[in-house]
Amino acid sequence: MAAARLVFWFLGRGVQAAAKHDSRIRQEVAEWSPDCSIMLKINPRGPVMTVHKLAGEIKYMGSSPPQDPELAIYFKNIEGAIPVLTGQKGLAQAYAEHRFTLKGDIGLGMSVVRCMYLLETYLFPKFITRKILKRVPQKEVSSLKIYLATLFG
Amino acid sequence: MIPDYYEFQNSVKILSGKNALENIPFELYNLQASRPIVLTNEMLEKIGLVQTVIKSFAEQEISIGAVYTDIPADSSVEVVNEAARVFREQNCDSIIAIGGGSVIDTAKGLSIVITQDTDDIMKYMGSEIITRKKHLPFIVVPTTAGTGSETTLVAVIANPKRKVKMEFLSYNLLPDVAVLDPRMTTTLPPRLTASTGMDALSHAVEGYTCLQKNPLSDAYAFAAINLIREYLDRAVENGKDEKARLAMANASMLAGAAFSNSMVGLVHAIGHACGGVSQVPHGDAMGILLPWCMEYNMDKLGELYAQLLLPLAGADVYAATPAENRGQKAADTIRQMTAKFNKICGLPVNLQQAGVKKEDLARIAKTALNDGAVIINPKESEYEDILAILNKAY
Repeated sequence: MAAARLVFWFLGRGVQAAAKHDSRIRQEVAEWSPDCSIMLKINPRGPVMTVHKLAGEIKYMGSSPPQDPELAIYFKNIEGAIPVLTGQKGLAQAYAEHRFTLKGDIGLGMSVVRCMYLLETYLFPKFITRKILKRVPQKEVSSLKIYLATLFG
Repeated sequence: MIPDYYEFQNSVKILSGKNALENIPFELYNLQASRPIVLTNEMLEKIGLVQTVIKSFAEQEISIGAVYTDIPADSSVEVVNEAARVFREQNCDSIIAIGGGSVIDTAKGLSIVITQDTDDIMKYMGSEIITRKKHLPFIVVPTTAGTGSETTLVAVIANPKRKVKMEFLSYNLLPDVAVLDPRMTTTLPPRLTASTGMDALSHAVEGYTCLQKNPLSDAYAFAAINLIREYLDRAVENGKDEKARLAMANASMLAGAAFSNSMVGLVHAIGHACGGVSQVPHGDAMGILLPWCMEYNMDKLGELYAQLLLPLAGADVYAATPAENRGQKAADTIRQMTAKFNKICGLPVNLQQAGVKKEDLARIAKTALNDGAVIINPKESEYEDILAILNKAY
């Protein structure tokens, strides 16, 4: 559970950082409704990760669940979440295996998945992304830049 | 190949064959229902199909609570809410849906409203979030042979005020019973028979090849394609051929069960977008796009397409085709089918014939990217990939 919490922190901070430096994530976020919040939770007891679109930018909001998220992704259990969070299984495969449920607009869900693909390209080494992504996207900036922005930005 | 993990559910009881309709009252009794609402549309009522079903209730103790016919070609939240008002006002206790995809989607929406006791189905939008609160008996009588909605877990309902198409995916949306009676499709014109038949074929092909494929969905998809090869031509050429009609109703049902569990991919993502942006009828889009998307996926799925050549073209063609050419031959076979139906009944063979404007292709590609089916396609597809497919299919 502690490992999942750490990965959630990295993902939340990471997407906030990547959205500043990668034009494709910025473009995706621009299409989300203003004030949109997205929650990721591992059932039944968490952890939770929330991001919120504020003034056009994506912000990591920590682990408190939002009131009424526009999109909520719930992993059914920790056993289904860990392979995804540790880069052993791709999001698409996890969806195919019914590892998580999705509450909200599936179109928005697809946009979030594309952002996650891009984020994974920066956060995971190539031997992992080759395994979990159907196609590895090109990086627009170095992974180091995203890592530094995630940790200190 | 056995997947590391998969889930499969098809709990729908199938009644297939002559006089299947006459068993509906027994099925209602079996489900402890006595006052169904019939959902259908005006056209089906006008041509007498609804009467055929209602006649089956003669001399039975079950009475119909209401017949609701005001269902347009695209199901909407307003229609669902209005049907729910009638359902409650007339003290109905079950649903009989007589129609194609739109009527069945409306019925699934009505089922959500009643079982979840809600006036806002938007709260239930998404994948696998509808829990089974109470059981509402639900019988489907399909009047087309294509959508396969009678065995799928999905409903798409428009919300015109918010300008969105809401998608609901839940095993709890599966009907209890599907009634496949050849009388219900013999009046379907050749053009519509061909179009809906290509829709069923696309469900089976994508069901056999998408990320959630598994041994059970494979069996359903394979059986569906065998029936389509043998009977779709016959149903198009002679609508009164009841054997062909019943076979196609079964093919549609089987393909529906296949894709309900393995999901559909790129062909449907682009096809939905063609419908949304340029109003291309879904089956027409499927017939046009299927071979082009197969060619796009060929490097990843060639082996699976090669296996499908057997049910698509039959044993002789399969045996006479070198193994390395079978995947491409499968795509070519589908292209030949569409071309044949173009000659017989005017089924379009490209997007231009289907009325798409060249300047809309970019918007179609962008819309397709946000379709849930994209993630299920085994090969990644980005905006440029989809646009390239659209240009080829134009």
